[in-house]
Amino acid sequence: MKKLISLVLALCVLLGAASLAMAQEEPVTLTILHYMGNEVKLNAFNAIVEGYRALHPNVTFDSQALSQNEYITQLRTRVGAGDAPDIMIGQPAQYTDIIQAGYVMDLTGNPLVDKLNLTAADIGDCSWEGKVYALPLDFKTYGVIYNKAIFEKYGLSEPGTQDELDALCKTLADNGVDPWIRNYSNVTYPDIEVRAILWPLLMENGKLDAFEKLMSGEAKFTDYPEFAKALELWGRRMAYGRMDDMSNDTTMARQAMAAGQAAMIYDGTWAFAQIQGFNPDQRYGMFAVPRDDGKPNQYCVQLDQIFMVNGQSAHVDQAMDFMAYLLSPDVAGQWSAATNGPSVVPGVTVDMPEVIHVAMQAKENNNIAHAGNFTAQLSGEYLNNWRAVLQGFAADRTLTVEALTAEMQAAFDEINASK
Amino acid sequence: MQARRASLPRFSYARRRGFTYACFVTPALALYLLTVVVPFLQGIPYSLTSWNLVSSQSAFVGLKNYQSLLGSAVFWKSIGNTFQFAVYYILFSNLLGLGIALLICRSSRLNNLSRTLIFMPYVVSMLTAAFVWKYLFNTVYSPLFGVPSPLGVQSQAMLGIAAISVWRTSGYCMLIYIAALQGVPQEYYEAASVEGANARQKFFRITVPMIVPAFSVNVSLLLAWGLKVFDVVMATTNGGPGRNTTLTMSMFIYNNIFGNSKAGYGQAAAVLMTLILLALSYVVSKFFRSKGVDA
Amino acid sequence: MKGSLPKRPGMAARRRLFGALRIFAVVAVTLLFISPLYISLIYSLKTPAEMGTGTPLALPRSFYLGNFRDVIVNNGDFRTGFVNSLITTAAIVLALTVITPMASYVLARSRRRVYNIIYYVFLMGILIPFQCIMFPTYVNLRAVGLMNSLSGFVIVRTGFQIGICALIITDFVRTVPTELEEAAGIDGASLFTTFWRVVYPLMKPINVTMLVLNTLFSWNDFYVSVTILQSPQNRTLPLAQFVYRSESGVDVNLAFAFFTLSMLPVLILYLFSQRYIVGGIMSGAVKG
Repeated sequence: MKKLISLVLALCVLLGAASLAMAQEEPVTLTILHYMGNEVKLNAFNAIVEGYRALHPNVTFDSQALSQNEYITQLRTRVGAGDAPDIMIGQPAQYTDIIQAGYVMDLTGNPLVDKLNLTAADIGDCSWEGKVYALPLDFKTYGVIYNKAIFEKYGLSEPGTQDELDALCKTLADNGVDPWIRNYSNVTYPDIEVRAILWPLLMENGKLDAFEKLMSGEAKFTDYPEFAKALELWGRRMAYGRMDDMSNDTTMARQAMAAGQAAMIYDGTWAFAQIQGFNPDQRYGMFAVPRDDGKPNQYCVQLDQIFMVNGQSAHVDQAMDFMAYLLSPDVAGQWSAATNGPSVVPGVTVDMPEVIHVAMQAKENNNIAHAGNFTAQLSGEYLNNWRAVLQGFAADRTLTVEALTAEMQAAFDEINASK
Repeated sequence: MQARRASLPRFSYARRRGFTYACFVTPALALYLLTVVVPFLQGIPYSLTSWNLVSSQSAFVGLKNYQSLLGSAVFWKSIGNTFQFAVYYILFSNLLGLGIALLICRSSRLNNLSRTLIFMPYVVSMLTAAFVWKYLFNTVYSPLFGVPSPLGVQSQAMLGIAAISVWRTSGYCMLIYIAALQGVPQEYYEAASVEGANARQKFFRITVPMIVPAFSVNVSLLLAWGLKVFDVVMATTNGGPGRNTTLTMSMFIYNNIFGNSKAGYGQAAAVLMTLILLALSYVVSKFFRSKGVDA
Repeated sequence: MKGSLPKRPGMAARRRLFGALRIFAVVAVTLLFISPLYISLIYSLKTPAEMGTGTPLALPRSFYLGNFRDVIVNNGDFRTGFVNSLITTAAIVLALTVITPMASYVLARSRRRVYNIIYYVFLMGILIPFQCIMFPTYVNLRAVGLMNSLSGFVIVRTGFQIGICALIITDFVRTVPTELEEAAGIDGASLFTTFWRVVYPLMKPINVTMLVLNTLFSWNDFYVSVTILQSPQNRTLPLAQFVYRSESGVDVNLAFAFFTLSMLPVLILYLFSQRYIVGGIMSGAVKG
């Protein structure tokens, strides 16, 4: 009898081992949906995927790049069609319906998250309603990238206050140099430019639930003087404009910047590799958008490449295994070196261009306004309307701050009325 | 016996013909019913639910979607924008189409060639046309005239979008006008000349009444196209610059169903859009019928 | 008095002047209309370096084919889109060319009530905008597993086009005399044979016109495909283009090479078949 049992047990173990071995051999296709659209990022990501495939030949990747503007719609359309990808890029708070539908894995307490040793704000940025839903690879900041040669030519230095910035712009304009190149036809840019002042102000005044309350209708825009201030200063910056401010697309603006057609562009760390790629001889610096109250200027920080894993996928384990590979110091370092994306993975040491270094330094010194500190960020229709209204402010310079705030409030009220 | 033999083939021929007819119609009809008629009917109950695209949860909400649509400033704005576009589109395509048709309606080598070339934009996809024009407005038009691209100016954006569409359809209108102009008997003009009519009188007394059928075709066709405008806006302004400046009905529907995950609400808007389309088509065809045109 | 008019000396000169002005106007208008296409072509024939120098509208210094090569060789999205557009367009056009003339023939010839009703069902259907059936279509395709598939797109696009095609062809068949079919029927040919041997060839002008127009509509389709096709391996050319332009950091010359290459097949088709399109539209047969 004992013999029989041990035989059965042995058989079980054997079968188990065999099926395990077979499971590992089994071909797996991981689908990744993302918006790492530009060549630099795309190539870097593909190289990492190839590296992983060298270790796991049974895994193939279906890595699909979408344009950022279309991403949410396309992701929803696919998830709705029962065709959810295994790994999705994105900040969880923007995809709450997909989380609620159960497609995003809860990563709270996952060893992979713990190993990243993230700051509380970083954790906040990859969470929704207190649970961690995403794994970050790097972060981003936005600020004023300037052409050093032009600044030197006119003896200009990085401005510390709005008044200094005004004076700087005037000097440039008087000399026939366009101070700014812009790409407001992309609705993201008016938004991130307003944040530059808005976020630090809201945070230092302790209004971390401002966006949450605005979306729920509990608070009005007029309850927060920070909005008026941010818009006012943005308006002052826009006093110096070009004809193509509203019609350049992102690439055209960066190309013009690289060609030296203007002295400054408001853009993010993610843009730098591309700007530099257009004209490697040009030298750039970066500074945070200056305030008018003498307090220290801060950079806004958000996690950048941030991945959610589909908890309902048949290949969850494989997907998590890939994420572990992606977030190992070597591979994360490879990503940062190729894309200039400042890593959040501990142990990554890569030489960065000055512009990125400035951003990393700011985060290390905590001289930042981190998105993750807010209880919620604008999302979905609120975000779309927020961006569109701001774009309208850029397009129509006769609008007053009050009129704009009223329009914004009307837009939010209407969304809430349709719910 | 003989009578039976004679009637049998005739009977079976008619039956066979009926059967063949049914076989001929079935593939097209079945496909059409499945892809157009059935979805159309399904859409009506869907518009009475709070369907969420992603989780497929839906609850019956009665007419609530319609109620909130009728009270929605954005929906009305999208209707207004669409009408604005349609007016520009119909007006300028017809003016240009008729103008060019008058210029080149006579057949000659040059005229035939320019006819071929002017129609060419119609062949290009709306999406491609929109992308090309977006660049052209920014890099050619703007520096050339020293003004910003109309697509970036709120008060001009719809006009800019219409310009792109007009560029694409004027050639179509032109062809229909040319056909109509060539159909006007030359004797009418000769007779008018004998009676001492001048060019303007000839145009308004002879040409215009004779080409009313062409007006009718062009107006009803462009109305149907114009009210559905979608691709060109998606590819140029995506509803901007600013909030809903160029948002159209079609975009409102697409954005709500897929972008905002409010499928029931978007479907209700789609049903309303269909009603608007039907009503306007009816009014236009009635108007032209009152002018004695059957189109 | 009438005869003396042309003899006035100023008249001939004025006429010549008008003639010259007219030719000038015709040429100017024509150039204006094709200028965007011209600009697309020259932009795609210039190097990025050449763009910054001189006037952007001048002819390129040398015909630089690198942009085209780059799009064709390095751009997987373009190749996939091109192949998918070819496959779907061929399938849609083939299906329409076979099934709609069959249906139209019956609608034109039979006097039975049921076919009259079907005719009106087609007529009502062409007034329905795709937006109205977009979401139900999505739900149905999802239910049968045809979402995000080329066959799903082909079925829906074909179905959506049937109504207008059937009406146009029916109107045409009504103008075709019935003697020939009757003669064939008396000779003992079955209706099936009569249709394909006798009637179908008579329908050639309208069939070719519809074939060309359907090719254009399928090749250029955006609103149906954007609803149904999401994954890159299933994208058609307009979708690939839609994704390509926005955030991906493409330079202008490559973008225009992409645009030009996507326009090329339909432009070539048009130039070879323009007799049929222009003829079809001018005969008033085509209204949609």
